[in-house]
Amino acid sequence: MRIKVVPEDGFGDIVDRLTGGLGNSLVENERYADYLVVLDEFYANLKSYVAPKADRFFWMVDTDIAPGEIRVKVEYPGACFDPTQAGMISEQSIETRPIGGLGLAIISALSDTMTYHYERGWNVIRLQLNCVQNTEDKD
Amino acid sequence: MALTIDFKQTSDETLSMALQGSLDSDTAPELDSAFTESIGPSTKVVALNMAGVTFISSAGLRVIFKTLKLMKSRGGQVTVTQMTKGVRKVFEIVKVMPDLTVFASQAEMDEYLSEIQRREA
Repeated sequence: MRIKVVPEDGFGDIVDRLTGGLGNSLVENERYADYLVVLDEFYANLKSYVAPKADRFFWMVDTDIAPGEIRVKVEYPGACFDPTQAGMISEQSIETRPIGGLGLAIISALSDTMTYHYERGWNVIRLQLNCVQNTEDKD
Repeated sequence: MALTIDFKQTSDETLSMALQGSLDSDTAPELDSAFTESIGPSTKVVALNMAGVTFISSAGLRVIFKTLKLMKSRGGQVTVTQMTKGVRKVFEIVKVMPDLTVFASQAEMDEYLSEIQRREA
């Protein structure tokens, strides 16, 4: 299931289109909540930091449900930026640390695998969310 | 995606609410507005029942962090109960659990809030 997203789209609109296309195989997947978090982090980052610098910006999101996993591919044009190099989350108490900068670290932590490539002017991020039977093997 | 905010018991020092739905880029501003409108100058404890929260992204976390910082600056706290597994996972990823006061049930949290209200009276 592949959709095109523009900055004017609300996050709920995107989810409606994806769940409308993939139905229960997505909604009933045990990693569905994690998938929504990942999707919203990309949405918020692209909308806030990439879209304002581009003319007629859009990005593509692919979601495939395979046995035991959800596969996501996010593609967007623009300057090369590798989200897999996101910083670590601070160990400091909330009183003394900055509030922002969490999104990419959350994507990285929730993903079982994440790769980044820059291809012909497009940033391409592929990630996978494994279901329990696979993540148990990893642990 | 939608968020429902149900206000529960409140007093000068405590604000209690149950959240239902998602805390994402679309809905986080609603929670931010609810906090802005409801947190008074004497509020020291914000209590959240998160049993109905399906997921939380950093947009929702930012609102909770902002409130947590405010409460801590007043010597208060944000208390949470009935987090779903997915929500707890995100809180753990961002390492905020030590800063939250977590109750096992709404009844325990209510008892704690009642005690604060008794002290207020």
